[in-house]
Amino acid sequence: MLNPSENPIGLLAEIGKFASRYSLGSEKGEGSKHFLRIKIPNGILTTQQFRRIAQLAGKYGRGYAEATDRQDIELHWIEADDALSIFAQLEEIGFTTDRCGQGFPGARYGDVRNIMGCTVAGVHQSEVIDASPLVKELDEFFTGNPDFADLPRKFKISISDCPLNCSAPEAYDLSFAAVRHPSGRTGFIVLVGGTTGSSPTIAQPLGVFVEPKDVITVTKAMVEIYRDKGSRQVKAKARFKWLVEEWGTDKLKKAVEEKLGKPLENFRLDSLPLNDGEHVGLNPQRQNGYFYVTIPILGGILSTEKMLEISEIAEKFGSGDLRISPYQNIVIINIPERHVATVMERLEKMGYPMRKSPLRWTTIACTGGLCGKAPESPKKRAIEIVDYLEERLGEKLKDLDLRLCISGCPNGCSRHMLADIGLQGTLLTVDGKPTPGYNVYVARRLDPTAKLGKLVSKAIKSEDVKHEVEKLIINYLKAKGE
Amino acid sequence: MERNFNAKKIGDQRFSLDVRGLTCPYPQVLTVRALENLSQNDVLEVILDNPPSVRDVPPALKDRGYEVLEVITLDQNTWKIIVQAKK
Repeated sequence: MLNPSENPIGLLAEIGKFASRYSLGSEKGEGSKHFLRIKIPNGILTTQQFRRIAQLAGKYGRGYAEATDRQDIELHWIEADDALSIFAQLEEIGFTTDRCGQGFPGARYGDVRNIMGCTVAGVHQSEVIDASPLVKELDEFFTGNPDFADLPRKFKISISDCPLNCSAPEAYDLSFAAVRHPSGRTGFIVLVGGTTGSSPTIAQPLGVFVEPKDVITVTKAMVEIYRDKGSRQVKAKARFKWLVEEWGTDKLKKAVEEKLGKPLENFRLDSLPLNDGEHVGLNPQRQNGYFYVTIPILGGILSTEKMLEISEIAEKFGSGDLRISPYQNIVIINIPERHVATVMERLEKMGYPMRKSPLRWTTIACTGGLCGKAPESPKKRAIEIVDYLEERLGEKLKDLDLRLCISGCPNGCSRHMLADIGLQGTLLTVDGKPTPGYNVYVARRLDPTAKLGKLVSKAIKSEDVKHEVEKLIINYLKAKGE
Repeated sequence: MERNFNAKKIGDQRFSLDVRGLTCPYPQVLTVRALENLSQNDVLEVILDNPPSVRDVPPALKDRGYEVLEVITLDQNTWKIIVQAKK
């Protein structure tokens, strides 16, 4: 027998190796106790990596996986006993996970979450800057860094570099949105204090222009300020947005400048850079003769089989490079023009309707059924709603530019308060019984006066919510004259 | 990591394992490993501060045939699970 006061060397070595970079999250829906959220910085991965994740899903997660709206891949039904083996396999392919410190009481053990970037960074025809190398550098700096292992809460960063702002700069703690300065230089404006949680807030501009070479130091300074000055008194008031609100952007800017040892360059845009949709369908790349195709993975629902088949298509007809989008879709890049028709046909055969409504690409839904906080599965509801709308409205939807986001609870993991149409799960009472339903919110294109969702219908039974969404879309199309 | 997460002997046939600051799966993995290395009739006290582990570890131990003697709330952020090592 080993003396328990002696180091069981193998295990402790593994714990030490993994604890700062890997963990399981807790959940309680559909029989799953633990999930694994694999961080895919900027959503960039190879088919080799995607295949390995598919195999992990097959072996440990019932053959099921989800692309998330923060460009991660989630596996569910993970047993704690399998975790170290899974971590070792993830390490082999160069990925880590969220550290899921939110389970602790109190404001502590927060980490920098997956850093988001434009899905098609480096291949988009009109991108301002390819920011993906910055995302990679930041991820490498923060991952497993003991100096940033105990933030008051989680900290979410995004860097946008396309005109659509597809990585939702308004939604997160710290965002950089690429701009062309009137002087001709390219760089970023900085947004701070956004959240999608129960007190949703649009990020505010810091009022500065940052050159690409300064993005890393500005980010480090900002996260240090949050670590050292963010409230640790009350968990509910510990996210970065509360510090931004308490200090105001002028004080925050001065604090960043003190850390940098130099002033930041004042600069303001006339309007905020807000997410304006997804890179839908097939598009030409900036590389002449090449295309990328965004596959509509409605709800981000994947299976081992689908992942392996997508990998095979991307290897055979592309460069073997994939992206996860902030709309829970998968993108195959670098497809030569001569292979485009074949790829589209293969995807259709897989069951991905490449010629249906854009809503299929711009609808996202959280994992509420599995996390257990939602009264029903928002993903299943998303599929039902989109199928219904396509059947009812058909061609009328072909140019629809709306974003439909469905969250199972007020935590708003699907950014529903920032969507054109947002649904938030709730429980209502019907005939004395608790019944799943949704509150319906509109903003932006459905209410240009609102950047955050305004409640328009309360406590609609789940099976009826599609009718509410249909009415909103019909009215919107009428107002547009379509 | 400087902490070693070893079980410490704290009395006759009584050991303590402090896994505070660790999230899933580490509290469970370390507790099981510690129990595997104890003798029959030894008692292990696991101190933890991660509520999901407080929820998940006792049933996982019971599944393995260990007897969870008690789960004690030490303060609003800390718990102690007392387990009999005997299978």
